Amino acid sequence: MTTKDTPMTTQTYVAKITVPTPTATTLWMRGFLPWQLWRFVWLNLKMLRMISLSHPTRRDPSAPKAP
Amino acid sequence: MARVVILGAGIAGHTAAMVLRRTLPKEHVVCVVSPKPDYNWIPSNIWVGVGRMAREKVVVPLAPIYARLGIEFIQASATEIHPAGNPNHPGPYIVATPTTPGAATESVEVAYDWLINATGPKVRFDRTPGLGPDGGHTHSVCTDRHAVDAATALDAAIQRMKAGERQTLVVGMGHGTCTCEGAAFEYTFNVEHELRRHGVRDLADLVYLTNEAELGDFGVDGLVIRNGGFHTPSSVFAGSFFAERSVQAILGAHVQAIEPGLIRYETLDGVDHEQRYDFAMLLPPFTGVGLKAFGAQGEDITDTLFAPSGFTKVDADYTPKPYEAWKPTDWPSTYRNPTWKNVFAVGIAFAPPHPISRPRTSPRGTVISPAPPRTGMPSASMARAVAENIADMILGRATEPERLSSMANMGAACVASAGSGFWAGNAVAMTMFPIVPDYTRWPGAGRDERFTFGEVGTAGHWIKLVLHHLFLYKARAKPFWWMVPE
Ligand SMILES: Cc1cc2nc3c(=O)[nH]c(=O)nc-3n(C[C@H](O)[C@H](O)[C@H](O)COP(=O)(O)OP(=O)(O)OC[C@H]3O[C@@H](n4cnc5c(N)ncnc54)[C@H](O)[C@@H]3O)c2cc1C
Repeated sequence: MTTKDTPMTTQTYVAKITVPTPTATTLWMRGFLPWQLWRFVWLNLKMLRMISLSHPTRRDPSAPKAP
Repeated sequence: MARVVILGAGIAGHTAAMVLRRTLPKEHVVCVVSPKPDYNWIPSNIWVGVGRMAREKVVVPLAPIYARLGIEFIQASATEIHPAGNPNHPGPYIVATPTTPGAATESVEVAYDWLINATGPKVRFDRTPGLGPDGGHTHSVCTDRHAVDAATALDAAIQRMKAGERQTLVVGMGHGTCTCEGAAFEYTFNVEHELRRHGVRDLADLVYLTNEAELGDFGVDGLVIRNGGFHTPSSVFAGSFFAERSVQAILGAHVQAIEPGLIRYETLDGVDHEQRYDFAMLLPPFTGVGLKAFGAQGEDITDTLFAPSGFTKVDADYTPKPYEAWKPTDWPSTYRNPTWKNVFAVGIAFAPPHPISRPRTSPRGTVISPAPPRTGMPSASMARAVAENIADMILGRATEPERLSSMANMGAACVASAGSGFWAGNAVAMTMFPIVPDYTRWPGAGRDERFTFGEVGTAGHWIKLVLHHLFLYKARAKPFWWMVPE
């Protein structure tokens, strides 16, 4: 991802573009409101599920007690 | 009657205080000691730092909220902890210096039965010569006031571009051991959006300078994101966004010194470089706030409570071990100090056992790798768990902390907005579960792919807006605040 292909004075170590970039359709979908409304609902549901998984767990009663 | 004292009123301390007050009957005292009169919703400082949100929208005065809830509030900066008391003061207490303007500055002693340290980080601009807004040459968005100054300087750069002058803007990390890469990432793309909004993007060279060895490391060793039918490494996911917005990235960099207009840095290969800049926002490294601890005879016992970094020692496994031997169980789950059982630390204030990212040093021995992030969501989750555990112990419902809240069992969301405007905003939304990877449970990626995903779009931007309003609503302790999840 990184290269040192410029002279060693300034702005060396610049990232080369070696990654996928979005197509015009992808860019359009990112702002297409009906799709984004659906994604909003989906992302919220996913995040809520993730938050519920993150809730503290209870100490295992069979585990040894802390000294 | 029990006295619970909470040091700090940030995301962790404020959450702990509100949960304790809601859980404990009124005969028990909940007391917050914090130097600033306001609560700052730090994630939205990003918008303040590009001039798109007023400072007043990200701060909430604490005194009226605490008066309404029945929480004692002492506006002061804690300096010492005396966990064993002393002959003049039999029980444990802390010492704090009042910070209310115009008030007496004589130290006060505040007794406690239970103590929660939630003092967050000390921002160490002093670790890099020339770094920071106070006496240095760069800007910051770590506090609301810093963000206001950053916005003014950014606007000046934009005005110079409008006058036809080309400008180089550098955003990132001001030291090889910084954390909070997500915040710098988000600020970068907010700046990029502002440049386009002002029609000067073509006159700006925007550079992201970071201690991450790869884009998308974020201090959590990178992620494998489920996106578009692929398992995509976050280096590719983030890299795609950099390419799309034409932002250059300088990776694996430790900033050595900053002069007016020039950043000197070393990269992971041990080579020195220079980067010119007209505007720079570089985050500082963090340490603990530097509290001292004293025993009953006045002897210095700071090392029983604090790691050399100044963060509080808790129930983590601090045995030094190589990256390959790191385990999820190294991470704490009760945040209780092993020596002083009535002392807890939450949020950034607890000492992590080790980084999450693979440690890296340059051939010259310079450490260039991110410190582990402790972002808002985990800070608040662990604060709630600790508060509920303390309440249970006070009320006799438990004899030791029963709720376990480890970062190896907890997710995090990073929503990096890249622009504003209700209909036109865009954001990179990423979530991960868990924060600390577990390669035994999820071989390969270390995280649950169902909850480790990322996407770009207006939906993420709405989520960021919702979070802003929801968390400020909660911070103001408005009706049913406790139903807002962490
Ligand atoms: C610019 C920026 C953007 C961010 N964006 C996000 C984001 O989008 N999402 C996210 O989850 N996280 C984000 N974070 C991280 C998040 O802000 C932190 O994780 C969170 O603030 C940590 O909470 P805390 O309570 O531990 O510390 P803080 O919020 O820093 O609170 C510390 C408190 O302690 C007080 N204090 C300090 N010294 C003393 C003392 N000596 N005595 C008593 N009190 C003291 C302080 O005044 C403050 O009230 C961002 C961070 C930054 C800097």
